[in-house]
Amino acid sequence: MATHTAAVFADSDYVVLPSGSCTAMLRHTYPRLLDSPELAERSYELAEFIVDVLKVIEIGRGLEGRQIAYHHGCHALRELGVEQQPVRLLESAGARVVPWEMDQECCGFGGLFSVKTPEVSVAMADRKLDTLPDVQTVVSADGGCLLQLEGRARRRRMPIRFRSLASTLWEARRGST
Amino acid sequence: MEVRSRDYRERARHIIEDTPDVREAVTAATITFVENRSKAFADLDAEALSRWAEQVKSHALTHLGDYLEEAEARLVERGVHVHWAETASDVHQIFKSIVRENDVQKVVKAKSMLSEELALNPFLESCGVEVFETDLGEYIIQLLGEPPSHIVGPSIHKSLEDTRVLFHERLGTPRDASPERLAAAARDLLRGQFLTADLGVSGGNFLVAETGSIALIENEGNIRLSTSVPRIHVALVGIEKVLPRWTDLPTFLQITSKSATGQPVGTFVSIIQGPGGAAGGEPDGPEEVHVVLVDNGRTRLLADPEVWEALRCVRCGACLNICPVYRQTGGHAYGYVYSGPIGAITNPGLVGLEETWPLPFASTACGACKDVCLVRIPIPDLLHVWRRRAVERGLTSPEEASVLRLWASAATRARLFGWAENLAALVPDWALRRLPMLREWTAGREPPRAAGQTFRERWDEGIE
Amino acid sequence: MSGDARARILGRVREANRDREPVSHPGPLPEAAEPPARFGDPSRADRVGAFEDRLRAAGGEVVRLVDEDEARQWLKEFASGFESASVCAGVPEAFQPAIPAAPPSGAMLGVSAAVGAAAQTGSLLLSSREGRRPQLLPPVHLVWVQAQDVRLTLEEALDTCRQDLPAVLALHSGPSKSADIGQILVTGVHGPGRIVAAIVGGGRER
Repeated sequence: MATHTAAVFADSDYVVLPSGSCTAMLRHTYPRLLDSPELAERSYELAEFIVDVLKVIEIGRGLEGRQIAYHHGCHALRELGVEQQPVRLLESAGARVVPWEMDQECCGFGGLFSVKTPEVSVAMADRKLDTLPDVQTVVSADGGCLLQLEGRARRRRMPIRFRSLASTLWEARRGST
Repeated sequence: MEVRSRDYRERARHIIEDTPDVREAVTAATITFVENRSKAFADLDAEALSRWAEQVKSHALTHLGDYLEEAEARLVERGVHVHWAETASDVHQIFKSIVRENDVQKVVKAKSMLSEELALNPFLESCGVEVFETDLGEYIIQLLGEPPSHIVGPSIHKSLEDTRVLFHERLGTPRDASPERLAAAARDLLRGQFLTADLGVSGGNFLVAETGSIALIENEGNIRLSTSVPRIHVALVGIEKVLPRWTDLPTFLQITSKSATGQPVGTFVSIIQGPGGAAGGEPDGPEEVHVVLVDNGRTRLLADPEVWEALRCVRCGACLNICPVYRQTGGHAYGYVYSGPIGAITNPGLVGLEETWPLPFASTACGACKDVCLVRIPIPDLLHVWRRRAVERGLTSPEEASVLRLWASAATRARLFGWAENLAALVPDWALRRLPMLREWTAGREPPRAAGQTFRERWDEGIE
Repeated sequence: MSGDARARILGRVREANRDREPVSHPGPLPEAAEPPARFGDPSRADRVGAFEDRLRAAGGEVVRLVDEDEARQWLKEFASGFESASVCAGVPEAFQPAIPAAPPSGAMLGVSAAVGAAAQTGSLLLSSREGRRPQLLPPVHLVWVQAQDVRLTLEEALDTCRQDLPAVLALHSGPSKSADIGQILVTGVHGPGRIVAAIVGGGRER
């Protein structure tokens, strides 16, 4: 898969991934698999790319009045050091990113972990959901985290929306829901 | 202690589903530990400290032979009996001799995780010796007949209510006794044991090679008492506990205490050089001090180029406290002495991967443990090493490997992947509840809803 | 028996390290620029005050006494609240309470003299040469410290003891405590639930 990916993006100046875990894979594991840091050096997570490379903070004001809880996926947070970029982008678009005590705790997805030790995985999702502040939307930059938290929230019939960071930033730009 | 790590998933399930109070208790306790640790390091350069500590421990380990010999020489000079033990059985034989030669009837024990590895208590009991755990948490679990649930706080999985019930049944305290009353009952009972025991057993937090000193950190005072009142003191020390210099000790005492409980230093620290009493020319203290240097799988870990760094561990418990996986169950799910992240990377080295292979998978590799490790053990990397080996040795399910290969072939073919995504929307409910992996997912969560269109298709149509 | 185990263990240890890159000892803890890696604030002149703060924060009690006279007076008053005392060997006569003696296992008050103290951790350094039981068995522990023996850092305090170590050098940094019962703090299990540091000399800097 690494070889395939490298081939697909061989001619791109930048590879931008709307996913913390995928970016971490390209940046930390691919150099070893491909025996070259070349692809890693031009790969970025979405928020990281917008803020650190494009130097853009304000995308639009389309999130005015929105109360959002941001879930920091572990890969983006700890492996890439991407912490303030997504929050800044959301806030500069008018959203209030509400303080959430457990926002940096792992959601319990962990890839195959979610189906190999499902009871613990669900308990971890419950920890996150039980400590959520009063918001209507939870945003995260990682698809796996969203699957996990949304899957559990819907099973528990919790009236919360889960949106990817990319979709949310898209809304910010468009200025409407 | 028997190894039950292969049952991790079932043990975790049982704890979460059948005894939900444990999850509550462990969560509350670990959050408190994390907060206190955070405060303790707030004004310090934790990174500089942990880099220094990492280097001291790595230096000690890479020169371990020399330092063990130096420690032994210093200890022997002071009149300490130094024993070397490769296995639990060796330790048992050493104790058997000491017990016989001294007609030992009663032992008071301070907390020692190593003694759990060695199944010391059952052995002593089989020799007709009465054993009393004196650390309050250890005493509680001894009454319950349970193994410890956490490296620093063995009974964090037990609530006040649990202890009330237990002490009411076993010590006759009132059913609604206050914590102070419960503690007083334990103190009164154990005090008598300290004063009449023939032998005290302790572990060792650090063994300073330069001076032959055993350092022990605690808050209760039961270690001070166990190592001071009985006529004989035996310290069980894993060979990896070595610190090279006397000047290393003050910093390690402080950072270990801060990392474990957030204190500047543990309430009592015993820095032991040798016997007291007539043997040491002092008014009291043990006439005989024995140190047992224990291997029990540590040399195997040391020889392993990919995982030896796990031996730097100072047993502060910070990784357990921060681990979101550990927090859901406490230590009993892990099925062996060491639990949480450090358990996952150490147990396979100590007792073999065949017995412990689910442990490295009992993690989402979130990396929180690595952030707090005082000695910078790259825990997630070591988890991956053990995982890779488990797969290579055929310990994991062959199903998984097939599913992953299937995924890889679809994911490298864009059109095929697209069709598969659209087909996914058509998978019937019954299949979701029966197919492997899908059924594990849907037991507690709704399946993802397919959008009906791939991103590419939407893009081609014009996303605006 | 143990000798063979010794040879095998050391053999395996050396074999394990044979091809490994040795790591050198980093030496003393580095002074990091900002924030400081060392604990505490070395510029604070009032070591005794810092020690007091730390020990009090851990639940210990501290009394400052200008000189031997004041110490005697204070001791008379303090000791009158106890039926009996067990006194360690090294305590000077002036600092021994004039109440009946009792063995450590029965006395209500234990009295000892510290061989040093560290402000950084609020620790009293106690030597086993004076006897340990009076420091451990009675529920209340009174420790005499000379102000000049209070060092700023734990490292300094331990350094002063390095050349002449007793059977056990103990650090007592507060009253005995445990949170093992439902995470609720209780004191006095199993060591003294009350520790009083009486610091003599050093003037009144605070």
